[in-house]
Order: sequence, then C-alpha cells, then structure tokens
Amino acid sequence: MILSVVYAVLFYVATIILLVGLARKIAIYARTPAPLKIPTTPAPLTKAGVVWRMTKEVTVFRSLFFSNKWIWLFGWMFHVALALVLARHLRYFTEPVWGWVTLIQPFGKYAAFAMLAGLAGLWARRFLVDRVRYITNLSDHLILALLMAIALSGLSIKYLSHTDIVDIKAYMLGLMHFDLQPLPADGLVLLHFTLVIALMVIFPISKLLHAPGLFFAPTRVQVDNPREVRHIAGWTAE
Amino acid sequence: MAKATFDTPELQANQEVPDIPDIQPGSMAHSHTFPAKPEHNKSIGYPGELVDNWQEAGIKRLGELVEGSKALRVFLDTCVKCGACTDKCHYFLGTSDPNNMPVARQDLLRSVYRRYFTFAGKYFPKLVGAKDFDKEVLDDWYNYFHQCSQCRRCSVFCPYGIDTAEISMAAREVMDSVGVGQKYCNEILGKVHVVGNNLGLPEPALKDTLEGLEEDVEEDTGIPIRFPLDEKGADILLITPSADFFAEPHIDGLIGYAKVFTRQGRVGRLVPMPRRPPIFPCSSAVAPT
Repeated sequence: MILSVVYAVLFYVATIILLVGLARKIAIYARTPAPLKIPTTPAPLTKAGVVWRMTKEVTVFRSLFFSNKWIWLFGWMFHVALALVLARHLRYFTEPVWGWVTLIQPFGKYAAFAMLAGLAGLWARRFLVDRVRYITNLSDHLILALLMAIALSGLSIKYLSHTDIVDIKAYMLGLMHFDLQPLPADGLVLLHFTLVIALMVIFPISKLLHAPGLFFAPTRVQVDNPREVRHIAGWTAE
Repeated sequence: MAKATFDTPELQANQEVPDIPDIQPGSMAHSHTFPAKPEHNKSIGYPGELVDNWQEAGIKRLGELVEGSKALRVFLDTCVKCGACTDKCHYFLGTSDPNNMPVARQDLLRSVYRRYFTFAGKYFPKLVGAKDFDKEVLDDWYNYFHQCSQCRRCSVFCPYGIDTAEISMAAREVMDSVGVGQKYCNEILGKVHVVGNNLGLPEPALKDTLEGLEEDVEEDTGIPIRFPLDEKGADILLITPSADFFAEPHIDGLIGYAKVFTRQGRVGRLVPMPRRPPIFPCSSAVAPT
C-alpha cells in the first residue's frame, strides 16, 4: 500500500508541475509583445493561410522536410509513433474504452517499434554527424535516453514480462477519481512510471517546450499584412 | 586583423546536393571586426567604452529584450538542437567554422540566457551547456554575432521558425548597451544623428553638388531641371541610395529622378534632413507646380 501512496503522490505532483508549468510558459509566451511583423517568406497573407501553414508544419513537419530528409524521417517517425502510442494508452484511462481507441490498438502496439527506430536514428546523428555532435549538450543525450528507456520499458511489459494490466488500469482510474487502489509491485511497471513522471516534470523546463513554442513563433504564425493592417505592439506602440 | 587562413570552398553549381564541409572549430575566431570609437557609441546613446559593471548591465539588458520580444523569448526556449539549420548558413558553408552554424551562433547567447534566466541553467549549467557571461564569451559574441548578415535563411529551414537574426540583433544590442559597439554600424548611425545622413555629407557640400548638377543638366538638355534643397511643402518623399550623391554611374540615377519629375510637370525638391533621423541619406520630395 505504501507503494500505491508514493506513486500516487509522485503522479499528482508531476501532473501539477506539468500543467502549471506549461500554463505558465504559455501565458508568458502569449503575453510577450511581438513589436514587429517578421513572418518568414513565403508567408501567408490571410489568417486562413496561417492555419494551413501551421497545419502542414505540425502534421508533416514541412519546413524540416525541405531542410534535411534524415532528420525529417527520424523525427517525423518518432512523433507520429509517439502520438499513436499515447492514443493507445488512453485505454488505461477510460472506462468504457472509446471505440476509436480500441480500433487503433494494433497500430499503437507496432508504433512503439517505429518510435524506437526514430529515436535511434536521431541519437545516431548526435554521434555520427560532426555538426550535430558539436551542438549536442549532455541534456540532449539524456532526453533521448529517457524517451528510449520509456519505450523499452513499455515494450518489455508488453512482450517480455507481462504485468497484471487490469490492476494497473484500476490503479490509474483510481488516481483519476481520487480513489486510491493498490499498485502491483512490478519492477518494470514502476520503472516505466518513474521515467514517465520524470518526463512530465522536465517538460516545462526543457527543450520539450518546442511543442507549445511552435505556436508562438512570430516567423510562422504571423499574417504577412503589414501594409493592410498597421501592426503596433510593445515598443512600437510607445 | 590577422590574415584569414581558411580555404575558399569550390563552387558546386552542377551538384544537386551540395557537399557540406567538415567543421573546423575556431577557423573564423580571428575575424574581429573594427570596434566603434567612443564618440560614435555616445552619439547614438550608448556608453563610449566597456562599462565597469558590464556583466550585470548586459544581463539586465538581455532580460529587458526578452521581456519585450515574443520572438526572442520563444526562440531561446524552443531549439531542440536537431541540426536542420547547421548547413544552411552561407557563413558556415564558406568558412567551416561551427560557430557560424545558426544553432551554434544562437547558442552563444542562449547559453548565457540559460545561465541567468532558466531553472536548468541556474542549477545544472553543465547539463544544458549554460555559461557565465565572461570576457571570453563577450569576445565570441563580438566575433560571431558580427559574422551574421541577418538574412534569415535559417528561419526558412528551422522546424520551429527560429530566426537567428532576432538573436544576433539582441546580442548586438546587449553589446552596444555595455559599450561594445561595432564601427560600421555605430559610426554611420552616429552620422545620421549628428550630420543628418549616413555619409556624413555636410549640407553646404550637398547643396553645391546639386547646384552643379542643375547647371550640367541644363547644359546637356537645354531644359531647366531643379534639384532644390530643403524646401517646405513637399508631399512626396523619395529616399535614394547614398551613392547617388557622389559615385559614377549612380549619379545618373539621381539626374534621372529629377528628369522624370520635371517631365511629369512637377518641380522636384530635394530635401536633405539634417538632425532628423532616421531617414537617410537625403530625401527628395516633389510638390505640384
């Protein structure tokens, strides 16, 4: 029971750090003025155009595709696989499980391998490409290690050493409804949980902020209409 | 300045995918552009020389800039060091100096920003590559932030739209604010403020040039074409390249403007703007006859 309490506290604290930290960062980004119009050409002339541009950036990583095919391949593979894996995990947090979540279960399972392959490719570049090696800090390696460890521990639970998934789900649902259930003392599951908690905690203080940050980059989200609409903000308004 | 020791890369005009040079750390570390004189820094409101508390003052200025610029603030946070920009800067392709890769250039400032403004940089500097703002870092800033032409090519390729120009502009402003100005920028801007144009052309000299032109043009064409100076009531502002006033064949352009305005039945009025920043080098305005 002590295990249940410890992990419950960890999960609650990590969730608060993640949500409050992200909300704080997003509020700061939103509040900071963009004094000048600096959309990168070719830039859309309308709001709808910006939405289309961002849709392409977020779903197919358009800029990255035209920038570097290897990074695009590995990066896109990792992110799409991660999205599928996360969606698959919804079945541990919903009762009854939503229909579409049931449908994507098989894709989610194999996506984990694609995720690992993508991470491995990205990590290999940090050693093999001298330019990327030069710009890599220890934290860049550690984040890749963390994500890989999460994927590997998850895959181990799935394929090597099965856990009692019904108990795990009961525990997670219990956490969500503030009704603490016993957590099985399964080493791999606890490792998986610990790593995910670590990821949640570092999210708002690390480069993982690229996720919300993309939506605040003036170069990408500004409409190119400085002649039609006078743009004043921050020091240009003074 | 020491003589450059790098090899000139070969043109790869016929190659669809260019070869990217291996990095040569420090190959452009010697490229130290001329510093501005104290009077030039002062003429645009910056301290003349490196101030005593420059670290403190620089970090404070950096904080103000981040507060006032969404671009700077977001760009300093979002880089994931993916490497997409590393082979996109012409300064890197031409010199192989890794600090000329956009991400590495940004990191010269980002490492300082992290050290003083982020949790990770304050408590785990080694982990995230955060650095104290010391003299060595300041020298690197001076060398490499003036090896950026702020063309923004990197921002086209960055998956997060990170624009190195925003970062290098901020770094230059921080340096200016502690008295480390660059000659070409600050001397010229100083002239705009003090003399009225970027060339530092005094008004009588400009007047004389234009009167001479009037005579020459009338001799050539038989038509009186005016190049008037500093006349009030103008409603069209024409900003010309500065070379139009002193260089061949650029001056033909200036003559051309006057001819066109005269042909349109208007009288051209060139108005230099002494002590009236920031329009340069001189304006030509036209009002209906």
